[in-house]
Amino acid sequence: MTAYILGAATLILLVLIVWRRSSPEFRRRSEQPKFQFLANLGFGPHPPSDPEQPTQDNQPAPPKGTDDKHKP
Amino acid sequence: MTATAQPTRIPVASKLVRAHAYAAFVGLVLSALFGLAVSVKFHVPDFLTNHAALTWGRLRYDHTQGILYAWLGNAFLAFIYYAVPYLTRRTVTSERLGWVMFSVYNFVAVLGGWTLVLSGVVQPLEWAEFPLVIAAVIELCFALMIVQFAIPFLKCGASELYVSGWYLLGGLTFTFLAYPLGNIVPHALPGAMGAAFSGLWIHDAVGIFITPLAVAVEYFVITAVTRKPIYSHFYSMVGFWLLFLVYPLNGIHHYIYSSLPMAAQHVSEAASIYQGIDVILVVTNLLLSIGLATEGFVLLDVPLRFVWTSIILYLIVSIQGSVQAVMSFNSFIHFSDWVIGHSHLAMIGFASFAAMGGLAHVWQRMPGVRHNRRALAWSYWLLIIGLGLMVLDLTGAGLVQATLWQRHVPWIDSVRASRPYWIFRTIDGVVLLAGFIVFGLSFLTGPRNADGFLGVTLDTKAQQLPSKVRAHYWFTTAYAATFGAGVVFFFVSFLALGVYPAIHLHESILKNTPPGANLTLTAAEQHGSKLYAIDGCAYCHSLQVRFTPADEWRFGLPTQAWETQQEYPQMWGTRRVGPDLAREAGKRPDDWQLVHLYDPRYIVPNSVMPSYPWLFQGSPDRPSKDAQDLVAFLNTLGRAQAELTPAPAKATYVLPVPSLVNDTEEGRQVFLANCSGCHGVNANGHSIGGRSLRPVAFNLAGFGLSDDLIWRALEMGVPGSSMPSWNTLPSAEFKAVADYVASIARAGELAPSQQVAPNAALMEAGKRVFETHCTRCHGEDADGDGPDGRSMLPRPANFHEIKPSYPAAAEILRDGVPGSGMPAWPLVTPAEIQAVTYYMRSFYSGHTNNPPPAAASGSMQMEGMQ
Repeated sequence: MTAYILGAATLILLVLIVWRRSSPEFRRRSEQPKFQFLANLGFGPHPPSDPEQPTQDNQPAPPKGTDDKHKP
Repeated sequence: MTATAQPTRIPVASKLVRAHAYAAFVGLVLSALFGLAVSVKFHVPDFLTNHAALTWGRLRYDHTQGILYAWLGNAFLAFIYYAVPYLTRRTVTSERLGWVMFSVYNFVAVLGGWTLVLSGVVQPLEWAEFPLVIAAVIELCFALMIVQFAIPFLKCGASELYVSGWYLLGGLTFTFLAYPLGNIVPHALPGAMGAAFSGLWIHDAVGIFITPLAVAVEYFVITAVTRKPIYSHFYSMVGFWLLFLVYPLNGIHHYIYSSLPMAAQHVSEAASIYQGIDVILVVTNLLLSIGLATEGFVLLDVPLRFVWTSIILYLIVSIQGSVQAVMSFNSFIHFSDWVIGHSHLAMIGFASFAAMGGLAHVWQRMPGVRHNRRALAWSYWLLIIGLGLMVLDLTGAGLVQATLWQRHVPWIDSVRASRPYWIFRTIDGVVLLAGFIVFGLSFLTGPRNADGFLGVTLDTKAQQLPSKVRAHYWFTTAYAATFGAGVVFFFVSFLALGVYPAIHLHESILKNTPPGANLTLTAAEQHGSKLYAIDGCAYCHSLQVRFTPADEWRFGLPTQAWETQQEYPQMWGTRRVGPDLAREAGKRPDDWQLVHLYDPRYIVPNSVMPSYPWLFQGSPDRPSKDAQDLVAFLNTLGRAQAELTPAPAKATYVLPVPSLVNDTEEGRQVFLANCSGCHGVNANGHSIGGRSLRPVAFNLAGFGLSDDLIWRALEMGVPGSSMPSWNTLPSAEFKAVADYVASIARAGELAPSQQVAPNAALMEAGKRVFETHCTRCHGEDADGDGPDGRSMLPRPANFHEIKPSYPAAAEILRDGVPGSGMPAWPLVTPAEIQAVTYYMRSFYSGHTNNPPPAAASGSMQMEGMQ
């Protein structure tokens, strides 16, 4: 029984992978959270579908002399 | 007309972040100290040995529970308080609830749990050692965590939720579901049935509690430091779902080759391999996210360096775990220190490095706190060195142990071979502890951050997001449905690996329990079982003989499910430092067990087992009721099977015995390593341990012994005494120690005998004494077969094989042989002693005049010995 369940779960994930490759909309929507999170941190860029996002740098940079010198 | 909207500020609950971070540091250092003490006890077993609270087992319980809850739990909670506003654009549910949770979690669950364990209130379940009352409190805390953190996630909208949020949500939800399986259910299901559930939690504690939170930190910190999106959010979610679908199926791989249903074992093996594939996917995505988006960040940003290391170690430990779960490999490596190395790699290498990276990342941004980048960088290298050496060391120790266990050598050989590794492990532990302390100091020293607001600031437009989310209702629904399916799948795994084996085992037990099987424990035996649990005996002495050739050769019949139906909770164990005890019933006399409990090194040289002096009133022959109950429990282990199995025809020694004339240094070394505990380094039986046994250990140096007798005693043991069979010795060592004992015996009996010239009057006097006092037991022919001696164990001496020296005979006649049928004869005069000794010596022929019974005359097949 468990083998079937594992197989079914794998099949569903494979279907999702194929769907993602064939559908630009699916691809865009499935990747949107990472842009949303970046925006929440205040780093931009805006999510492609969502220009109405905060732009402030919300996550304070570490103090000088520590890690902020690596800011790109 | 439109009013000017003000940006919305969503603060981080920074006081709670700080509180949990400080609690995590304290927890980390204390847990590491517990671990270091445990490690020292491996090579200095008498370290902190006089107090029950500081015994190995209890400190070991507090070490692992401390790492899990006091350190990692607090560290991840600190991180979650910081992360939730950034992931959800919402605050946590309630700061007040946060303080209640902090207090209950740390002061009741962690401190209470530690204290109760040291006081002897425990449950002997791996990764679930805090007692039931604490387990209930921890489950309550997990429920409060869901209220505190899940509500903001649910309000956020699934389609917008970053993968870190999914991992946090999944980790908290599934841990709440999984926790009772390993912490509470085994109290209701005995033995094999309970083991199935314990196995689930052993793996879920790492896979469902720690791993999701660690991976959440990794995904969060990578984006926050690089300020670039991760490589693929879609594949991060594929990895997330695979983790939650497959991890719960791993559990039973801790009990491979046990009496659990083989189908469930195969599922866990397949799932473990599948899990490795999933981790490759997750790690690839994480490394691509760092590698494609950074230009040297890993080297320069220390928190990200911690995270990067955690990712690499996640891959290594997962692949290692998958390999260790493969059945053929598992039969070799299981129970060894490599498994301990694996768990340290997981809990320190993967989980702790992720937690440290997350905490350090957060701390750099916390207003008003100090942080010291140089100390943080130092701690990184100390931890890398300490962990690397420890894992290599334990892996080496494990391979050596596993190899020796496959060979037919005494168990103690693997303990001796492990000693250098254990010493080195303590050194590694000191380096790790230094790394932990420096890591904590990096949060308390260095420049202070500026005060200010910590949190998310949303402008007006951002607050319009909910309308956009609603536009993607289908996506949210799909995620929610998948999450629901995940919960359903979790219950399916619970059915497949918990309920199904339990039902199968229940049927098997009903079908296979032999009528009249003596499984019920008396009150004293049950009390002994509790003592076995309290002091962590099962963490070194497993209670399951597996279905593997090495186990069956060494320990006997594999443990059947029906034998375990009275074990509440099961104590199968997943590690062996000492031998398995599932077939201990009747193997050794009680006095041996008692002396061994009082101080194992009294009778087992080089043993690393702790002493339990508080179970005695000052000496091994004055055991408390606790000690007696514990020994009573040991005598129940495998009792039912032993009583139902016809005693095999006693194998006997091979005739003719090779001549024992080649006294060698090797023989002396084998004697010192294996025999000197009882017989003493001078072989006169006057060691502390030997004199504490009943009967006392034999004075080898005081008697001439025939080669047959020496060979037979070594090969078969001496029934009725503590002398075990030594047929596990390699052939060369067996012969060498037999030679050595023969040489001692010759030296012991010769010199005094030559002082007495042949004398007929003396012979006649000796005969009269012998016939007056000795023949009832030793027989008229002095062959140990007198009418009163036939029922005695050990059997009276057969003077055709034993030739007493005058001093040895005098000592025995004066004191008797405590614990045997030989009484003291205080009224026999010195002249009579000399006469009777002279008479007894006259029978000596160097071989027995009682050949072994026909049933026992078949040759015993010893490895490599004809």
